[in-house]
Amino acid sequence: MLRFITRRMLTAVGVLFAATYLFFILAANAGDPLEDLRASSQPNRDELIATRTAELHLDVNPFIRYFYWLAAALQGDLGQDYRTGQDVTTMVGDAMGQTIKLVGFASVAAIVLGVLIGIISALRQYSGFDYGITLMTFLLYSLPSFWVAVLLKQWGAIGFNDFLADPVIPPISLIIIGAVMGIVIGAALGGEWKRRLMFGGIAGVLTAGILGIMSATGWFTDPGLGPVVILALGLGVAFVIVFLTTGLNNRKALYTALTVVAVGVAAYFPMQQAFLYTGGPAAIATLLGFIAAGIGVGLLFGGQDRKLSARAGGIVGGFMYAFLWLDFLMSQWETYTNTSAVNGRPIATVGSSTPELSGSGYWITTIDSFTHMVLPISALILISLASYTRYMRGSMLEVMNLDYVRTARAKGMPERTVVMRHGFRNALIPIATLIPLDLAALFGGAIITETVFGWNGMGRLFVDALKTVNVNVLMGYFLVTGILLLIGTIIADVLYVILDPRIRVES
Amino acid sequence: MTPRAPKKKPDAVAGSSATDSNAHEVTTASAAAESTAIEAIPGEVTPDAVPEMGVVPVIGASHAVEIGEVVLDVEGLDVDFYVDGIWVPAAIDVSYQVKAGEVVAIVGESGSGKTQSSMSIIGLLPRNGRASGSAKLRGRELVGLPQRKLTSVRGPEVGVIFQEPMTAMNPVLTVGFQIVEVLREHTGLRQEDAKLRAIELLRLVEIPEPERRFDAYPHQLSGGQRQRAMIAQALACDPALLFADEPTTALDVTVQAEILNLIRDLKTRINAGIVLITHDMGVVADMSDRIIVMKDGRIVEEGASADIFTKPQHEYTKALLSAVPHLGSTLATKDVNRVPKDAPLVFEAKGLVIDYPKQGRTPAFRAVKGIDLAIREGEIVSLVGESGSGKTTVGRAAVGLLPVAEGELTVVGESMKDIAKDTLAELRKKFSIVFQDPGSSLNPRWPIGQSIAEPMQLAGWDKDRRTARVSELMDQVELPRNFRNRYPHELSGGQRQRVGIARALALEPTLLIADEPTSALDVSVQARVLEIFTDLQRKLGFGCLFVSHDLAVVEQLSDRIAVMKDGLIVEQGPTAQIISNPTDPYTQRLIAAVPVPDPAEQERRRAAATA
Amino acid sequence: MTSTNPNPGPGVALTLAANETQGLSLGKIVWSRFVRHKAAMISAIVLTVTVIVVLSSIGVGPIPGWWMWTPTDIDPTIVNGGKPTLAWEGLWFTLGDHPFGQDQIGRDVFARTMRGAQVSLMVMVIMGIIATVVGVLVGAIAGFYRGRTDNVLMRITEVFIAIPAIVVTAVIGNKFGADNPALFGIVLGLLLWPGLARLVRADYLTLREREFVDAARVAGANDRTIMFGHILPNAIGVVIVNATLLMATATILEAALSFLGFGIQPPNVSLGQLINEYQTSFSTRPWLFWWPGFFIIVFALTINLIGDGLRDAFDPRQRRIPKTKEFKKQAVAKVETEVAE
Repeated sequence: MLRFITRRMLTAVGVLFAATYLFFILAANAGDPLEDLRASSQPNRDELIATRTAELHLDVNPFIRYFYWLAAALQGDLGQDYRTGQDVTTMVGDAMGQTIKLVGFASVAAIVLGVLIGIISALRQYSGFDYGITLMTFLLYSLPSFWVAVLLKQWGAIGFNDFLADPVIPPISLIIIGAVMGIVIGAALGGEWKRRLMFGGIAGVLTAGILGIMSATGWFTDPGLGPVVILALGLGVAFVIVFLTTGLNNRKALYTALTVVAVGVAAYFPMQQAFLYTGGPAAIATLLGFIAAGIGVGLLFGGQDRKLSARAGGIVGGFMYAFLWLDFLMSQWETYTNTSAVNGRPIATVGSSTPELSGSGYWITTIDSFTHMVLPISALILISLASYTRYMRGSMLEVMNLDYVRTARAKGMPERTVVMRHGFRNALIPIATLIPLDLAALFGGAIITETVFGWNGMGRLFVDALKTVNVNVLMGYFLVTGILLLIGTIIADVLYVILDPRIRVES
Repeated sequence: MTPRAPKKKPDAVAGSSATDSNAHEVTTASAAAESTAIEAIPGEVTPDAVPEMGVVPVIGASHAVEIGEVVLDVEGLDVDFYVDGIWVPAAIDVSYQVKAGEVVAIVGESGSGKTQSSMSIIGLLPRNGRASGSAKLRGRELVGLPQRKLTSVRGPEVGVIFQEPMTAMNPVLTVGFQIVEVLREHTGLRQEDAKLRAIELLRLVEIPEPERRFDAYPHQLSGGQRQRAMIAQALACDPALLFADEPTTALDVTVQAEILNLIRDLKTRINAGIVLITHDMGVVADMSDRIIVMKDGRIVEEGASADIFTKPQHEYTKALLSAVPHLGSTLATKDVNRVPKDAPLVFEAKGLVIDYPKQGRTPAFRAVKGIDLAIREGEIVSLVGESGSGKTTVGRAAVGLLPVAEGELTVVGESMKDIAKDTLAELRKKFSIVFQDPGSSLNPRWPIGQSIAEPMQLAGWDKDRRTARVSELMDQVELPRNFRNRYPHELSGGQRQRVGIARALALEPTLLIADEPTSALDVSVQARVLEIFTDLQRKLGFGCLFVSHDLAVVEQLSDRIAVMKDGLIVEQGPTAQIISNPTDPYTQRLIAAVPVPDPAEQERRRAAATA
Repeated sequence: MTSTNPNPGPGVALTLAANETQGLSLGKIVWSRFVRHKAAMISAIVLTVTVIVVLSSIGVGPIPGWWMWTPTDIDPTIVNGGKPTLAWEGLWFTLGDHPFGQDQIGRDVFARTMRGAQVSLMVMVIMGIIATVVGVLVGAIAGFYRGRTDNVLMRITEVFIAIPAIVVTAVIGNKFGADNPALFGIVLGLLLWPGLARLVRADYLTLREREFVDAARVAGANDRTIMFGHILPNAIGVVIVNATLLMATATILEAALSFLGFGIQPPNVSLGQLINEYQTSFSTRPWLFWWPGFFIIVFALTINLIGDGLRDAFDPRQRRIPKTKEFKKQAVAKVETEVAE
């Protein structure tokens, strides 16, 4: 295994050399870094030109110039931005941080949603739901991201902010939203139409009802969950998790999950106090604490399936913390909206944060980050979602038609186990190897989205650098993205070996 | 078809189980009535199949039935498939009964509906299929039962053994886990007990070192072991009925013999009724008590095994039986002097060594380790062996698809070792090859006329000459001339194979290599194709190297036989001699393992083997 | 499996002219399956109509079109504040003078959009052809010969893949795109072939193991004949499907690049470039933004759906099983007829 990795890494380094070399030539020829100086009328123009030429070795042929860059790079020096004098390393570092925030969230959401929808679509092949989802994914796939981004800016931001000024949902909208929800839920469920109608109907009415209440009570101005809602949500999550992992027949797991929900709700009031003093690290620590507590409850319940109960308990614990955290965050919303910088228009369209609020404490800055991330992340999710859904659907369809799935059914395994353990587990393998590559590529920056929404991530870095023919920055950008991509490839290969016992490399 | 690399873990049970279970067979004949899977039968010499202590007795469905009680009662079963807008029937009005402790064989060729009718009983039809009629398992109606209820029937009441053990088991889960999950799903067993029971089951099916194999993945076991594991899995919850869908078709002959022994062994020890679905009459003769013959979805005949074999009533049954090659039946007609002793050699191998090249991860290995073989013009010499023996490799080397590593190989007068490209190009006009799988040996995008004409086109013949010759060839293989513009997928398997033969004969070769040409065909189709082939060989007089694993087929048409094992020829000689008086132990084993479609004779052979 | 009529017996010579039944070739089969894929058929029709309109309305090259405005004409009168004059009238619609509106300086948006669409189409088609040819060649050679050749070719492909498409195309597009859209298309084609090459290679790796390749070799075929006469017709499905999907991606890619300012630049017009030009006026003149985007979506969506339809049509394993509702209906119908009998 080790030999395998080292071998791949060596090839990767070779490929990297070739790629960076090629790219350097391209970048160097992409334009004239002295353009602005040539056009200027400053008195010391010639001096400036000479200085810059010396700095960037512009007198040397690009084919040789590469090695100047390489020599420096190998020592960790990626040069400077010739306009601002900033170190490329710091620039790339900062930009990377921004991009990770954006891309990380979006990818996780897209993957989770995509996998979920893909599985359901595959299981309901040829049904109306399947056709609908397929059509939708095609549509999303065909949308130009910049078009979507601009539209989101218009409706997501301006529209929503306008809505917040007077947060009332007219009854017509309530009915329409409820109906749509009902139809989707009904379609996603399988089985006879009576059952689907019932569930769909309930879902639709519930949605409309909840939204109506929220509208009437001015929830949008001062949102929050409250212990009752958290309890309801917790119960829902508990049932779903237990259903998916062990089946509702497993009493111990069920009781574990329910106990954890109860504990979470009981912790509501103490947590309200604790949250006031929470910062970033403390939040993470508490999250881990909740998960550990969940696992502990599972183990306490004992029984031979301790580990399964513990797993269910841990997941529910995490969710409970998330609900509590979310609730507190919501309670800070009104304060946030009313700050002068935000001034009643919370959803932002430009930048990753509001500079004036940078010192306002964990909760306000978190909300700030969120409001700035909502739109670009939505844009990213919409596009990625399409491909993940299709991949998962395709993979799932292929696997479900294989012999061993039929054997599992022939053994009398319940459909749930057949789908999850035999189908899903195997269908996930190709996807799992796809994800590292995809992520690595995305880290190169969601160029369009960042440009449209004004985030200073990797994509933006690249665009600006290209426009000004800033070779050092371009190379720095490319080096990092290239390395990430190649690491991604290697991780994908390793994952494949781990997940599929047939591919174990003979050592 | 490329030869597989030698298996890593050879099936170590090879020699022993045959004798053991035979001994078993004799002693338990009387105790058969009361035996169950768990209780040890007093006085019996068995391998450690039934440990006494601590193992959880799973009292399954099979305990609830008495021998002779009707377990499965099928009445008027219909199976249809919805294809391209219409309902196509796959099985029509199927009715039969299966009693506990008996083996009912459903025999038919592909498309007869034997598999689909059985799958429909337990609700395993593909999405576009549906069943109607009645099938009662111990009195409980299964047709029309919703899937949720069926899951509690499958496993505890019914077990299924599928054909391809490699694909039928989940590759990412261990063998042990896959058995344990069935147990934990249907019985209340705790994890540790389930594991013990699983190991016991693995021992029951005679897998060596069951504790270690418990943690093995399917691809780490040999083909025979995988099938045994499948059987263990099917029997886990002690079902009352077992469906075995072509359980040995994908296995080598000797391994097949072992598995059949195992199943027969189990049959006497458990109360289950077994439905054996197969196309192989030899297997049927060996195993079944009753036989049901199906054709085009209908049952055409049924009865006791001995009756069907000796006094078949229906035309189809008779045709089926006569089409089955019967080992030893043609020996009397063999003429050792058919081919003059001084006829020119078309194929001569001396100490021939062939290496099979590296394929991706599998390293190169020595497939043929030094063989001597000669074929004269007009003679048919068969090369017989199991998978991994190297026989296919020899065939490929003969046509230049694989290089000669060491030794000599002279084909139609030219040495194949380090042969020059243009010499080979010229030589290729003098020999040809017929492949095994007619589906993949013809280019699916070329009309068959074009495929047949290809050798001629590459040899530079002009269009008219080619067209004329194609017509001539199609007549010879008895295909209508107007098929020339059809595509392979529009033809049946037998017709495709005839196209393959026509193509091979295009340039009037002196040497023809036939690489398992009929293995992928149904029995009756096989008979027809072989008939055409032998006729052509007699008429055209080419020398033929016939590669096969099927001794019965080989016996019918060859003048001489060479038996290969692990890259070496262990024995060769005239057909009659090899079949009736084999000297090498491997040859003897091979012959003993060939199932003979005659129950009485099978009985005798088994008795002789234990004597 | 089709069962067929028994043979007329050896030696019966049917005259060659008569009874040469035409078999169902791949093309025919694929077409009949494609036609059954509703979404793909509709897309094909929509695409054809759109392309005809795009090409004919303002003309191509020296051939004039039937539309009254050209992309560069400036209409001095601003009709209706520049808003689109497309309006419903009963069941049909009227075009008016400027159905898509006018921009800030009075040019007809419809004409500009059509020109933009033409350029985008041209880039896409050129790119498609070049990428397909290069991709198939590389993939075929790598997949067929394996070993050293394969390794080298795959490393080269990896180098291309290591560089995200948008990055390289941005750099190159910046240089070349400004002047000549055709050149831009060629360059894009030379950069985007790796994906196709990998898929073709994978197909060749499997197909070369098939027995008909061995049979052809024994019959005396050389490598080239096997690669392109035997294997390629079998791999054509993969090629066509992925080339189509590649073209759809390219449409969006070209638009994105032009939007960023790296591809087609003024005075040349493309759909992406138009959006770039008009993005700031979104709040005041939204129609400027809508229409070019709409056409991008139409192209990308129809091509994607056609590609999907082709994929289904080429895949022999696919069964067009009807929707569950229809299935049940049929099941009931059969039972009823049975009961009636």
